[in-house]
Parts: sequence; C-alpha cells; structure tokens
Amino acid sequence: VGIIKRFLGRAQPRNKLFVLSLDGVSHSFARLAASQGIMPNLGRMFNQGVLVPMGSVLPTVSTVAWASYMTGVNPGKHGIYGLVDRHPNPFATLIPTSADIKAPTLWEILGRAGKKVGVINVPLTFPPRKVNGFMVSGFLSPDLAQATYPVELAPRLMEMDYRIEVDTSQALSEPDFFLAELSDTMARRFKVCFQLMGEEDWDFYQLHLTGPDRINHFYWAAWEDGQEGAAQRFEQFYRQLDSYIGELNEQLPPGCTLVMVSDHGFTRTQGEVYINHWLEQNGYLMFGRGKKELKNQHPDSKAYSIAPGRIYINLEGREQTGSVAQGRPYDDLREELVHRLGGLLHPETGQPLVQKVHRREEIYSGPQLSKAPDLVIEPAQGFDFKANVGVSGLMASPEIGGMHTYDDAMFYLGGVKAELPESGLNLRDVAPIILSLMKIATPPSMDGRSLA
Amino acid sequence: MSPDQTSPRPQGQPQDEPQDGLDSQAQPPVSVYTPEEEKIIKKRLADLGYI
Repeated sequence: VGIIKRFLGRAQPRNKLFVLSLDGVSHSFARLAASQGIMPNLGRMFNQGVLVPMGSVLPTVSTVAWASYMTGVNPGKHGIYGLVDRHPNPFATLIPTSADIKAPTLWEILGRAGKKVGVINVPLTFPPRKVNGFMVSGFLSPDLAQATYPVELAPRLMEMDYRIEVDTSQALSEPDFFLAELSDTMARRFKVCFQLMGEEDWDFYQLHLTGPDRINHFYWAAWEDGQEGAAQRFEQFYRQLDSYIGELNEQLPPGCTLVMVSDHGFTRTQGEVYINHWLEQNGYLMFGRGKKELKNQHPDSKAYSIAPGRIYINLEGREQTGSVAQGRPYDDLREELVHRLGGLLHPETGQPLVQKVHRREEIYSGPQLSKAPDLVIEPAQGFDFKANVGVSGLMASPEIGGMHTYDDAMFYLGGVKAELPESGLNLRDVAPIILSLMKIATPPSMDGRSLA
Repeated sequence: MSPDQTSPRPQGQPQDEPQDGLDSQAQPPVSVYTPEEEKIIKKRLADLGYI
C-alpha cells in the first residue's frame, strides 16, 4: 500500500485507465502461472508494476464482491449479499440485479466527472444502467438484446458474434466442448473489446473475464492433482488468456494505466456442508406440512440458511413465520448459534468446518444493514456451505472441484517497478485507487481507502 | 453514441426502501426478469453450483 501511495503521489494526470478484471484469478495462482511460464506475458508485466494480494468480502460470492468493487463500499451500504436473496414476508427468493445496488458505481461517479466510460461483462450490471459511454452487462443478462447501454450497441455486438456466457452444463461430462466454449467466448469478448477500444471515445475502460472463474470451479482440483488431460486443458486456457493479455498490453494507448483485479482467491473444494440439515437436526429449522422448503417453515421454526452460509433468525415482525422475539430472545439465539456453529466439525475427519461465525454488525455497516443475514459463516478453507433441504446428511463430496476464498484476490497496477509490498488491501479499496489515479475526488461515503 | 439513448428495461437506479427491515407486509419486489428469463438465469447459476 505504501508503494502504491508513493506512486499515486508522483503520478501525473493520465488520459486513460483500463481495468482488466479477472474473475477468480488468485494472487498466488497468477504468480505461479507467471513464474512457471504458463503466463509469460503476465510475468513480464509483473516486472513492470506492482502486484499485491487483496482481501475480498463475506460472503465470498462474485456479485457481492463486484458490487463492493464497483461502489467502494461494504454490503451494508450497497445492499448485495448474495447471488440469491430472500424477501422475508411473504417469503420469496429473488435474484439481485443492478437495480438493487444502493450506492453509486465507479462508472457513474466517473461519468458525473465528465469521463467517458466503457464497461464490458462485469457481474451485476444487468439491467444496464445509464452511463456516460457504453455498457455491456454480464452473465446475469438473459440475452444480448437487452444487455447493452445504449440499446443500439446490441446489434453491433451480434454482428461480432459476442456471447454473454459460456455453457457450463457439460463442463465435466464434455471437457473438450467446455474448453472450446471457454476459448471461443473469450476470443469473442476480446474481439469486441479491441474493436470498441478503437471505435469509442473512452477515459475508463473495463473488460471483465468470467472464464477463469468457470474453469477454476470445474478443474482446479484436477489441475492441482496433475490429472492427465484435465490439467493440460486448464493450462491451455490460461496460456490463451495470457496471449490475449499480451495483445491487450500492446494495444493500450500510450500513457494508459493498466489495472488488473480479481474478486477472490480459489481453492480445492473438500466438501459440501448442508447447513439447513444441521439446523433441522438440531431443532432450529422446522417445516410445516407439505413440501419441505424454506417458504413452508413451521411457526416454531427459529432459523434458516441461504447459500453460502448466510443464517437468518426467524424474527418476529420480520419473517413470514417469525417466532423469535426481538431483543433478548434474538440476541440469545444468535449467541447460541455463534457458539455451536463455530465449533462445527467434519463428522468423519474431525476437521473444523468453520473459520468464524460473524454477527452482521461486525462485518457490515450502513443503511442496508437491516437486509443483511443475521449471521455469516466464514467457512474453513475448502468447505462449501450449501442451503439444500431434504438431504440425508451434513456433508457430501463436492460436485465440482474448486471454490472461492476470501483471501488471495489480486491487484495489479502497471507502470511502477517495485518490490512486492506486504499489503492489507481490500477489494473495496480499488474504486478509490482508480479515482485517485484519474484525479477524481473519492466520495466521503466510500469505505475504501483513498490513497492519494 | 448519445447518452440519451436508453434500453427498453428500467435502468435500475437505486430506490429508497424502508430502513428498519421490518416491512413485514410488503410484497416481494417485482423481478426485472420474466418467468422464462428467471429460469434461464437460475439454470446458469445452478450449473455453476451457486444455487
């Protein structure tokens, strides 16, 4: 952080800034891939800039993370807590979208300062919000026709065969098809990126790649194990990505600052943990007659979970079947769950399953705090907390081989040569850093640190 | 491109909401997705193991 700060202090106003956001590329993997020659362009660029590890957000989910990145605030202010959320009464699940972000985004702040922006494929940008420039929404867009601002951009992208997202339905059963999907989608994304880079007027440009996250989910463990075929496919994808990164670096206009950022680290999934099963087995979660589902909880039900590891107390006056009174009963139940869930062990190996159970007010603050889960489980590394009901046990083998980690996201700032600093950088610091680089004042409401 | 050009969707600007979290009788917010679109998105999330 100190080195970045000194650099920012010396930096002259830059004309342009480009952010390449690499979903799921951990700091440690990027270093390894660069040093082992899998990503030689990345290695050369690391020698010409600062690369630091970065903390993410809880729960460590891409949309929560990218909402924190794009607003520079914690979920208590931007209001995004997961890929799926719940309405308490009447109980309903819903998919948060850009319409649910309750804080101004980086590109909106830049636009208001007169900067032209171009943003491609960042999660949680559907429906596309009006910007001073152009926006192509990310993987929560149902189709391309609705995914652009302005709407006239969509036909141009269709002509260029742009694709919103890869088909991951056959990622494990048809690995060659999946790799071809990843490769083809990335090629189309860079083609559009390069073309719009030349055709559009921009001061800030962000290209987001989801491919790394996708291949990591399905092939991380196979790569770590050196599985014949799978490991080669994994590395082939990253070699192709590196080739595009090299091309991007060459195509950036003179004086353009390059930032690379990811949203979380990655690790091998050791097991899935069905926390609603535990809540049910221990008398906290009860269902009414009929189908066993969260919208059919018994009036005496006390708590339930939505993935990953978000615990909601069945609070009277808030939830559909609220049974726990506010005040002391609520506090006592939370403390009981903090204690019991914090000691959860793997039934066969005795490994701790939980790193820490957080009370919401300990990790979030702001006007959206009331929408937060009452407790958030930070899992021990490799344990993926699911919300399935009607399962037969607490644990199951993972269906896919990789999962997110809070630690080990990456931040890279090009154009300064320095030794790797030890850093306490967090994802919510990136927006203030970018604003500093572009000589725009950081709004006081941002939680991230303004370093200039 | 003109900044006045808009997409056919609501642009998703932040809206005020009750702050106490006890909007017990409020209806769930209307989804920006049609039921068919929601199926597409949920399948995408399920394929990724997210839900």
